[in-house]
This record gives sequence, structure tokens and C-alpha cells, in this order.
Amino acid sequence: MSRLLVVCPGRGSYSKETLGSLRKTPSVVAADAFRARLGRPTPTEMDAVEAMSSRLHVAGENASILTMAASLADHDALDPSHVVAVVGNSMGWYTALAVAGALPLESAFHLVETMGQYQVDNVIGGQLLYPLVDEDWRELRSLELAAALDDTSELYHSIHLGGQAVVGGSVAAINALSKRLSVRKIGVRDAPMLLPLHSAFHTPLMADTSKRAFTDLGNLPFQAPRVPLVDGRGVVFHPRTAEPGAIRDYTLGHQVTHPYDFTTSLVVALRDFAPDRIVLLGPGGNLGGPVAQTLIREGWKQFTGRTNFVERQSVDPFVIAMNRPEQRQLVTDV
Amino acid sequence: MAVNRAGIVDKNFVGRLSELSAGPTRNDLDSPVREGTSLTARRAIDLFRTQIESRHLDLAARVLKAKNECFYTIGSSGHEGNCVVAAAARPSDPAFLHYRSGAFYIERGRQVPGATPLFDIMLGLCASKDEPIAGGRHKVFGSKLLEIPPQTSTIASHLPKAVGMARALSEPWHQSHEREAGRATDKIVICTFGDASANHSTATGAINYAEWLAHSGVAAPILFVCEDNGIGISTPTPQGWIATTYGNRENLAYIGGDGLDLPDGFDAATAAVSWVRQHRRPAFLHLRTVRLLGHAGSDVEVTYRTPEQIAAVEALDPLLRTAALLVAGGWLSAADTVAMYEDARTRITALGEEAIRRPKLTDLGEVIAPLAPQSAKFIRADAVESAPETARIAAHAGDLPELDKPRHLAVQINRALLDALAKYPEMRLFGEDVAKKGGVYHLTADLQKRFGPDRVFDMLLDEQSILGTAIGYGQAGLLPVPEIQYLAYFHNACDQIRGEACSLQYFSQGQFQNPMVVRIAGYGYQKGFGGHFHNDNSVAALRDIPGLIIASPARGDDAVAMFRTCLAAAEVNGLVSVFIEPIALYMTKDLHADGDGEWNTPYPAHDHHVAIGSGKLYGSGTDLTIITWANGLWMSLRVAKRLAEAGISTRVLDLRWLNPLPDADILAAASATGNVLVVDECRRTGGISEAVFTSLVDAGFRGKMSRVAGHDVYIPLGGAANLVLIQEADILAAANLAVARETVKK
Repeated sequence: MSRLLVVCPGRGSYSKETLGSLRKTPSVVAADAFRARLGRPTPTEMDAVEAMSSRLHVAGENASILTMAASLADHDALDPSHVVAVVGNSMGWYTALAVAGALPLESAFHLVETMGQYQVDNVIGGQLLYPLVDEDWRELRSLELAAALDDTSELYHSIHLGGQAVVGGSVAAINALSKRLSVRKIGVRDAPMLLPLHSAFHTPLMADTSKRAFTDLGNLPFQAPRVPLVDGRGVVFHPRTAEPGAIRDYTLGHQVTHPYDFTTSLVVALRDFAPDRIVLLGPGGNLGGPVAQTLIREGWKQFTGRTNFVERQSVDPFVIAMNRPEQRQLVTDV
Repeated sequence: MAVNRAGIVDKNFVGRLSELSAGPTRNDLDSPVREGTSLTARRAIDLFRTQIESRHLDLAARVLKAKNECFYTIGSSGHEGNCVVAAAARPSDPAFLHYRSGAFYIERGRQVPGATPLFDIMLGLCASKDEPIAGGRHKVFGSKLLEIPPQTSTIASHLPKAVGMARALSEPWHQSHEREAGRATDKIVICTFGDASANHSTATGAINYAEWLAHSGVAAPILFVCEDNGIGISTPTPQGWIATTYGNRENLAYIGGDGLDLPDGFDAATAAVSWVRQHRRPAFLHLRTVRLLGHAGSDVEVTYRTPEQIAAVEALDPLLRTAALLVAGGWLSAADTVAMYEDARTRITALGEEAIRRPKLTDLGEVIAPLAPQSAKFIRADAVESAPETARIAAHAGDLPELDKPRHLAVQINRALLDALAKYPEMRLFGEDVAKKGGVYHLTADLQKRFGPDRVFDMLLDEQSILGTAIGYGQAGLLPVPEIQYLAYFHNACDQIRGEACSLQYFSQGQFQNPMVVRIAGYGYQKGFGGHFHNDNSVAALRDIPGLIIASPARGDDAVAMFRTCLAAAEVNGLVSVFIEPIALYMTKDLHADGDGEWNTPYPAHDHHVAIGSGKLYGSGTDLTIITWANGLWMSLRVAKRLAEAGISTRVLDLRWLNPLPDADILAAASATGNVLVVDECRRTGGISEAVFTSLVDAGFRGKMSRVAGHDVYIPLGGAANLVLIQEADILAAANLAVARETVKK
């Protein structure tokens, strides 16, 4: 039996290459029904359009549910008894709650929908992505970024994302930072990269959002998960004994206003559960980079760099991106 | 008879789990797991998981050892109940753990986001350099993140420093520091050890010290946790010994708890932790445990326990007790417990496979690097920095010492101490008789008067406690300057420096430091007064301590500058230095003739720096090089004058530092004449002359070498002392002989 660590991606994973890929699984049907009841475009509808549209697919209120639905669809294809732990990244935490069973599906939809609706015409500050690794995904620090975080008010770490930093802050601070940082590459694209329509998630600028969330969502039926769930601090919520109140407080409080440390959550999951494979749910697979960068930094399974990682992936992939059929079949046909 | 008890314990456990009788299913996890306890079912299940994980790490160690992939098998099996102490304490309470506190370590790790205690331990078992605290240098429970300084497993030798740390926690400077940093000011120290090591002098001394503090009204919030498994390797602890010994002491609260019974242990630990936190006084938690799987993997238990005895102990398995409690209460099914147990086995086995692939230490330089790093440039920069003049004027009561006439060694050291106290607000000076009395030789006179009893204080008469306090203070961020009254007194507490202080950076890769400068009055030449204990001339036990800096000045100006260097090394690199002062020269003012005042020196300016390992050359003669230090220097310079009068020209090298030796200076001075006489006031065996000769041979010196050294005997009283210590006549004779031989050869 293959022991799987499931990783739920954050918003921004859905791309034009993903269009038309959504499978009609029970979770997707449920997500469609949920959105239909609200009179909003369903994931299936959004997935079915011919061309990617910023207004439809990138806007927070749609991108989140779309990403969640696509992730859940992939999870539906797994044998749940093989899943040994679940982690999420940023908005992917809401998916992780559902996947791990810490929130019923409908409540998870409600959570992601409400948090997304808070963003409608209300983008607070912004986010920027910047690489902290070289071409071979080995650590490459940025003194410029460190100095900026140190000396700029309203500029914060937002997500620790493997070999990338997501920085959040006021619009002015983010714009100034984007001019201050030397140009580096993320794949073929230039960085710093501004993330369109993103608020300064996971920073103190979201304090009001957190307050609203406690008022609107404080009664959601959080519960101990079915499988261990690792949060964006590296705290493990265990089946049976995790306190529902602690999961609620983290979800509506801490992770909204504090950095989401995806890197640490992944390291804790590796070092506590030693999975046979890591499974990336959802569209795009663009979390593959940060996951691989974390593995390389950690020296896990003796990964030493991008070249080495890619070579080994082609022989016996440790990281399974569910949107790659040849990898997907390794965990869905067992 | 080789019997795999680990396999038997493992198999029996699984077998017995599935036989457990279940109560009606319950889900009210926040109810007490048993009537009358404060332990909830929710917490108990989490602790059960911790206990299981601890056990499986032990079992995995045995399996990996058989494959030659694991290098340490002393385990925590039977002691898993110690997780209750971690559960009762806070993760910010410093914890000094012995080698059976694995479950404590794991449980604390569960309280700190991002901690990965299982893999930490696994990496340690496999001696991987990725292990986060010792980096493959030892298998220890240690973590900066978890406030667990690594211990070296020397039996109970960590207790004195644990008390020192507890005392430091209540220190006003430390308290205000913690407050400013937004940290808790009611921390307590936890210190675990076994029933057998409770008999060790370090344990009894440390507990005595804690009681002494409590009796004196000094806060020392420490919880001693004796994990009593009833046996020390093969020797049983007499029935009731620990309770009898520690159960009824005026200044030590005693709380008994059953570490085999989770609710009982938890309630006891909770009561103990909260009592110490509230009262800021020491307490003794006596936790009943058993030892399963033998002392270590190599221990054949059947040679000293009958099979029936072994089986009886195994029947007390604390994991089984916890499982039975949870199943009988309806919180878990028997199948649940088996599933949890097997899940942990799977995870930990997989972690083992990952850990054995991790890199090992393969480079000598890498192994040594964290031992005692020296940043000479920064040490110099710190050493030459002076306290503000106003602070200095206050410290010296108006008279700046550099404006005074040349003075002798004792006076200058006293002034150096005043300056240091003015410069470093975190410096603490303590020892026997140093405060009110001002030291046996008045070197610490006025220090307490000027800087107050928080910064300069008397200690009880126990060198282990003095040095333990220094380690604890150093770890707490203070700059301790303990005094050992006489060199011989150091030897009864040597391991505090050898096994503990000097190993801390090495076993923590510099993450923990215990900077200090230990002042010791030493050597002979006290005109026959005082006997061997007050005239000790043995430095061998110090010289081979890895990483220890040994300074030994002979004159006031050197003493001041070298003391500044030692303090700076402590401040900059967290180094441990011993500063040996020659008692016989404390009050010496003259060199060649009464009243010449040539041994007095001016107080050196603040920018006068003496680097670690740098010697000092006197004269430029070409006939003979005399290499010496301390009393030997004073005598050699006198002899050199007489030799000069006889037409023999010499140069005299003062080593100043006994570790590291000034090798380059030694070689240069020796090569200048090709004829070396080492004047060693210590014993012939293990003394400095051996080291100087070795240094020269290693460096390829091909000239002549001779020596005069003390005899290998304890120094007697009265005039007989001079028979075993070298005298000026001996030096003169040896010098003449060396030069004569040289002449003949030429």
C-alpha cells in the first residue's frame, strides 16, 4: 500500500491549460449544486467556457471554488485509506479541511465562498511572488527582500512557499518593492511577479476580514479530521483528539493574519509521516516547484537540485501531480 | 543466552492489546479519563500516541543497530510516562533531560509548531550530520526550538547547571531581559535523571545546593524529576531508597507519582510543576517507572535478572496500562490501540529508512568546527573596548588605575575585575568568600560593595555547584566569572568543565553556549605554608580538555589584558576560559632586589591587547632560550640576570597561555639560540615541559632541549616543599649545564 501525503493547492492554480479538465465527481457535483443555489457560476460552467477570462476565473470569489472543486475531484479519485496526512497552501487550507474531514463538504464550500465574497470589490493591498532559489532550485537569498521586509511598514511575509516568497502588503509597499527587487526568473517569467486581484492575505492587513469571518463563520461545524491535517504553522491536528475550537481559531484567525508557512507544513508532514508519495491535487500543478524546492532544501530522499529532481521524477515520481495522466495513474490505479 | 527482549516486548504488547476488555463506547473526550483526575481522555489519547512513538523509536533503534545503521540503543522503554512532565510544563521551561526522557522530548515537540521530534531523534540514532542539535556528534535529546539544551549523558552531571539555570531565571537582569523580549518571567527548570544516578555526588550536591538556596531565601525554581526504574544497569536500587532519602526534606517539596499510570503521573506532574512555578522553590518529583529492553541494546539482562523477574517487569509496561485505561473507559477500542501502535511502527520505520540515507560527518574539520570557535578580530575589538569613563570612575571610587603608579598583580587583578563589572552589566562574580571577605587574598575586595549582592556573591562550599552555576548563568545569557579558591579544589569538580561546559557548543553546534571565565588561584611557592591543597601545581587535567582556553599570567599588566581577552572570548564566541593566577606572585613587587619594584606594572591602557596563544619574550640573548611562565618566569628572569653576569646571554619566553600554547613563539624563541631550557613549575609528568618539547619536535626543531620541572609528588609542608618544587639554583644549574654542553659540542 502506498502511503500518500495529499497537498491542496491555493488560489491561482487554475490556468488556461486547465480549462475543460474538471471531472464530474461527487464532490464537483456538490460544489456545482452549492453554487447553483447561490445563483453563481458553477465550477463546471466555469471550466466549460472556451477561453480563460480574468473576470470569471481569476476573481477571488470564483477562483477559490474552482480550485477547490478541481482539487476535490482529484481527491475523489484516490483511495482514502491510502492518505496518511493532508496539507494545504493558503486558500488550499480550506480544501484541506474538507479533504481531511475537518469540515463537512458543504461547510467547506460555505467557508471558501464567504472568504471569496469578502474580496468582491474589496481587494486589500496586494501580493507579490519572488524566487529565493537559483535555476537549479538551490537556495539563493535576497538581501534586498530581507532589507525591504525589515525597513518597510505595511510589508510582510505572506506565504513561505518552498523556494519562493510571497510577500503581502499595502499597494504602495508592494509596488515599491516590485521596483526595488532585482529581476529574477520563475521558469520563463520575470519576477517579482505581482499577483492580480490578490489581497495581502496572511498579513495583519487582513485583521478586519478575520473579525468578519469569526462573526459569519464561527459556527461552522469544525471537527477533528479523519486523517492528520498539518496547518500552515506546522501544527498537526490528529484524528479524534484535535480540538474543533483550535481548528476554527486557526482557520478564521491565525492563518488569515499571519504568514502561511507552507514550507514548514510540508516538512512537518514529511518528518512525521514519511509518506511514500506526495500527491498534488488540483489544476496546474504549479505547486510542484515549491514542493520540489522544499524537498531539495530538506535533502529528502537525497534530492539535490532541480536537474536531479526532474530526472528521478521521470523514472519513479515521488511527487505526483494529478493533472499529469502518467503520474496520476500511479496513485489512482493501485 | 541471547534473547531479543525488544521483539518479545513488542510481540507481547500487540498480543495483549487485542485481548483488552472494552467498556461502553464514549465520545466525551473532555471528561476526565478516570474519576478524580485532571487528565482528559483527549489529552490521554494524545499522550498515548507520544508513548507509542517513543517506544517505536527504541524498537527501530534495535533493528537499525542490527544493520549497523544505528549507533545508540539506550532507550526510554518503560519510562514513557515521563511525557506527563512535558504535558504539565510549558515548552518555554528549560529542560535538562537524561537519556531515557524520549517521550518528554516528543511530547514537548508536540507543543511547538513546526517541531519534528521523531525525525530529530531518528537522525540522532543514525549519527547523521543533519540531526538538528549535535549534528551527528552524539545522540542526545536537545533542541534550541524546544528549550532543551543537549546533555552528554554523563551520569547526573547536568544537575548542577540545571540548578544554576534555575537561579539565573530569577536573576533581576535576566528577568528584565525576558520582560523586554516579551517572554514569560515565571519559567521553571525541569531536570530529569534516574534513581541510580541520584546517588552520584553531582546529584546529591546539586540537590543540596537547591535546598541551600531555598533555605537562604534565594529563588531557584527547579523541578527535579527522578525517573525511578529501580535499577542501575545491573544493580538494584534498594527498595524505598529514593523516597526515604528525598521524601522528607525541609527545603525540597516531594511529590510522588506513578509514571506507569498516566492519570496518576499527570496529576503528580501537574501539581509539581505548578508548585514550583508558584513558590519559586525546588521540588522533587519521584516518578515510578520500569526499565524495559535492558540498559542498552548490548545489555544481556538475564545475567543479573531471572527470566521471571524480567517477565514481571515487562508485565508492568506503561503503554499497556494506558491502552487498558482508554479501552476500558470506552475512549478507544482494542483495534484502535493496535492501529495506533502499528501506524507509529510504519511511520517510524519509514523515517528510519530516510534517516540512514542522510549524510554523516566525514570531514575532520567539520567535526571539530563547533568546539570552540575563535574570531580573533572580534575578540580583539571587544577586549579593547572600555566601559564609559563615568562608569569606570564610579567603579574605581574616583581613582582611575592607569593614573596610578605601577602596582603588583593582586591589585591589578582587582582593578581589572572592577573594570569588567563596569563594562559588562551581565557579568556575575561568585565563589567562596569572594563577596564580604573580598577573597582569601583580597583580590575581590570592594566588588560587592561597588556592584551589589546581585552581581557579586558568595557561594556555598562546593565547587560543582560553583561551576554548575556558571554554566547555568552562561546559558541564561549572563557572563559568569566564578572563582575557584585553590587549584586543587578545581579537581573535585573538573567534570563540570570537562564533560559539561566545554562540550556544550560542540554538542549543540554552537546553538547553546555557556561563556565563562573561571578564575583559579594556583601553584606553589608559598614558603611551605598550606600544604599540597593550597600549593597544587597540577594542570594536566585542564590541558587536555578540548576547547578550553587556559590563561596564566605572571605580571599585573599581562593579567589585566589577558583577563579582558578571556572575557571578550566569552562574549564574542561563548568560550570557556580558565585563568590561573600564581598565588606566590600576587603580592610580589620586586624582581631582583628588595625594593626594586620591578615586578610592579602600570595598569595597561584599554587598547593594550594580548591575543589568545601569544607569548612574550624577555631579552634577546643568543646562548640559551628559557621557556617558562608564572612563577617560573619570575625565577627565570632572576636567574637570567645572574647568567648574564657570568657572560651567558639568554632570552626568556613567557608562554602566558597554556592552551593553546604559543607554538609559533616557542619555535621562534627556540630557533634563535638552538638551545632550549624549559622551566616548568608543574610536575614532570603531565606538566607543561612535555607539551613544549612536543611542540618543538612537531615543528621540526633540531636544537638542544632540556628541562627542570617539579617532582611527581604531593607538595609537603614547610621547608620540604622546596625539595619538590624547582628552585632558582636548579634553574641556574640546568642553564649552566645546557650552555656548557653546547660549548663542548661546539
